[in-house]
Amino acid sequence: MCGITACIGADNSVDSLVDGLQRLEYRGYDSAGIAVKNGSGISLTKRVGEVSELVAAVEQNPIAGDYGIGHTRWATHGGVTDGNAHPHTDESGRIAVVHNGIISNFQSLRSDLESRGHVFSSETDTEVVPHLIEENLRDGATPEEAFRAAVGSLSGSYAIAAIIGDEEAIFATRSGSPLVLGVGDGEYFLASDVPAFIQHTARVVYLHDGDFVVTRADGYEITDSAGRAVDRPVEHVEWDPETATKGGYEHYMYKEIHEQPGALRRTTQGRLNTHAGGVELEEFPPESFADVKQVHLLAMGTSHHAGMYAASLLNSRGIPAYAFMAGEYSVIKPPVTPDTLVVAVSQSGETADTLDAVRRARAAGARTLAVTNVVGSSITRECDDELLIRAGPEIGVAATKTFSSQVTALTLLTERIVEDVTGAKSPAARDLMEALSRLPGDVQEVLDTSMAREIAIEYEGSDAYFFIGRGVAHPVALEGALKFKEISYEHAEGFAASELKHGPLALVTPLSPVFAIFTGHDDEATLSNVKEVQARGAPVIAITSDRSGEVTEFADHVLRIPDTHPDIAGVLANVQLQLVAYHAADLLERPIDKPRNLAKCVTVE
Amino acid sequence: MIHYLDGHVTSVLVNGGWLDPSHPWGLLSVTETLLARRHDSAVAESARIHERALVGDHVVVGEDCDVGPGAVISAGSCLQDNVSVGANSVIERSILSTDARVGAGVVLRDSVVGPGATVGDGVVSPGGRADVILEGRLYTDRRLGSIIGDRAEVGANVTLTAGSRVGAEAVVGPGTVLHGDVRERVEVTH
Repeated sequence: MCGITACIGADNSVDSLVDGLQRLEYRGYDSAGIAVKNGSGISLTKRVGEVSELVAAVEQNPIAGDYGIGHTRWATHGGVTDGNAHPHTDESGRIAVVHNGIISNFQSLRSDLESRGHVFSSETDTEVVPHLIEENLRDGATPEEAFRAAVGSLSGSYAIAAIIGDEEAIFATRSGSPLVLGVGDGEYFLASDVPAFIQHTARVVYLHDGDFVVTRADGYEITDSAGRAVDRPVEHVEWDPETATKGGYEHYMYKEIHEQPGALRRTTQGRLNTHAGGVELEEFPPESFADVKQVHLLAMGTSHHAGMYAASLLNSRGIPAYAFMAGEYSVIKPPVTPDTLVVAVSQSGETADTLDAVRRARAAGARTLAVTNVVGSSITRECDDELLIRAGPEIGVAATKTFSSQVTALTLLTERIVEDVTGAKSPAARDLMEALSRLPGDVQEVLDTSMAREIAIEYEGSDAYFFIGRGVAHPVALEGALKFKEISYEHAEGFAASELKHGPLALVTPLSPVFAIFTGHDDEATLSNVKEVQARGAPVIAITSDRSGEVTEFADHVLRIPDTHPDIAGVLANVQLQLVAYHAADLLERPIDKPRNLAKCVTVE
Repeated sequence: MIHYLDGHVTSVLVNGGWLDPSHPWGLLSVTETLLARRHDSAVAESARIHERALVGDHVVVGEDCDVGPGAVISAGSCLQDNVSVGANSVIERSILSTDARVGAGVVLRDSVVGPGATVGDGVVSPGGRADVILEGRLYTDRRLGSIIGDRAEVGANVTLTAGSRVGAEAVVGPGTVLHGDVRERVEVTH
């Protein structure tokens, strides 16, 4: 939540900063601001609303500077106002600071500063930082010393970038919130995430917690909290800058839905052996999981649904597996043993709830494994091992291609675990590998032939939308409902098909269409649930590969998916539901890539 | 395949030679010409080629392709990504598009297989020359085996005579001997 940018060395920093903020807007869009420094002093512009408001303000009253910092906000402390927008300054206006995260001891710091005469102009936790720096400067410290001392008195999670006095430099640090350094030709960038500067450079340094970086026009220096130099490798990011743009599509979400065949090809690349009917994971050779007795899957939101999907696959193959919402994991404290494998699933690798749960699992002695999309993210450092889903950057707040890639990567992991634990490939392995190698083409077929828009038009204006499925189709039903509600703002709920008659059936009316997901496994049972809702007058949309049988006979509408292995059919069904959600929201003219109150990467608990 | 695209084609800038595959047989000859320019083959690292398969020169094999034992892929052939070719199949001067599945004991010569299409065991498309009618115009004596459309399914032991075409998503039942065209989304059986 919240995105920060900084740049130095370019001719005019304003364009780079604003451009970077637009690319980080998925992290928050309550307000945005930039502070740039030129010979005379700091120029500051900030506005409530999306980054486009800031762009308009800068166009109206142009500012210029050789270097600067920027911020797009997802409010945590203090309401959404111009005053609470970042950057924040001290009274003199000579220090400007942007911050992502939460400073947990800001109340006591603030009272101390106020008692010493400092006047605060916002309700944010961040504003303590410029005042602390100012105080240290007044005591005779150099800008760098003042920055270090100020950061030293903070607790909580933060990524901070600051410009201080006349020193032509950007001072930055991170602890618990993401921060990356972009190394260009004579220009340097700092940002919460790589897309902010991928247009300028693909050379990236992933900073670690506790790192301090001072960036000047002619270079950068990374040190630890004690001031000792630290060597961090410059890595080359293989993202095509185009993948972080809309590339002709109206929304990032629609583009990312259509990128799924390519994303899935990358997820499975070199990992399937259809000859041998098994998986080949470079990260996990055979026997990697021989001593695993049970699996805990920790995640939030869409990633949690992917975790539930994997738990269902593992359990059906005889491996005890439990999917937990990471935010609950530290509260309910499920028993963890040394032979528990904890799999943490997070698109960004920065999800605060999930990171917290991982720390708890590690402390309890579990082996931890991160399944994530982002190389070098915090979760890859917190966990013993990592499995990258390789979906490419996802900008739309509503996760789409990363769900498909997460489920696919977890399915591969499942087969590895099953083979290691039981000593034999699961009976389904060969067919499943064949189905996985066909999956990108099957997803393409869904995209090419989907009738989702017609369905969205047909049922626009309904009272509610329900999604049901069993087995792996249960998390897909939950995910279908989540996607639908988060971008359309319409009431949508997902249920296990068997749960309907235990309560939710009371909500079913002729004005509440029910989307029923059939995977080819236990379809008959789901069909009897369909008949129950139909008897109450609700229209039924079946998502199925069935071409001639009973399912199509009973459904009012059919969203067809290619015939495939039941264990992976949920991925195809989910693509249909993504399209239904997208078109429903599009008909209502919702801001699909930036749904209200949400942000993509949830780095606060 | 082009008619699947909704958008408009505007303009393309070309620096270099211009080879114009405006007809299906042109697709094959252009591919052959381009591949002949290199001396060896380009086989992606992630492709799995069985040790007893033979991949000749002037061939491209894309990412994640799977080539089974005894298969022969010879000059002028292009396997796009994620294509599988079963045991003892022979692919000559043919294009297999992304996600195409070719069974065991198949012979494909001078042929084009569309994305996601399935070619069953023992299918034979022997290639050769044929008279082809395209959009009402007759082209005589063209070198063209067969064209199998996107996601079409060709059953086991089907014979596709020179110049035959299977439309997108069509299904051809096992054992059929095909002369001429099968339209899109049509099912034909022996």
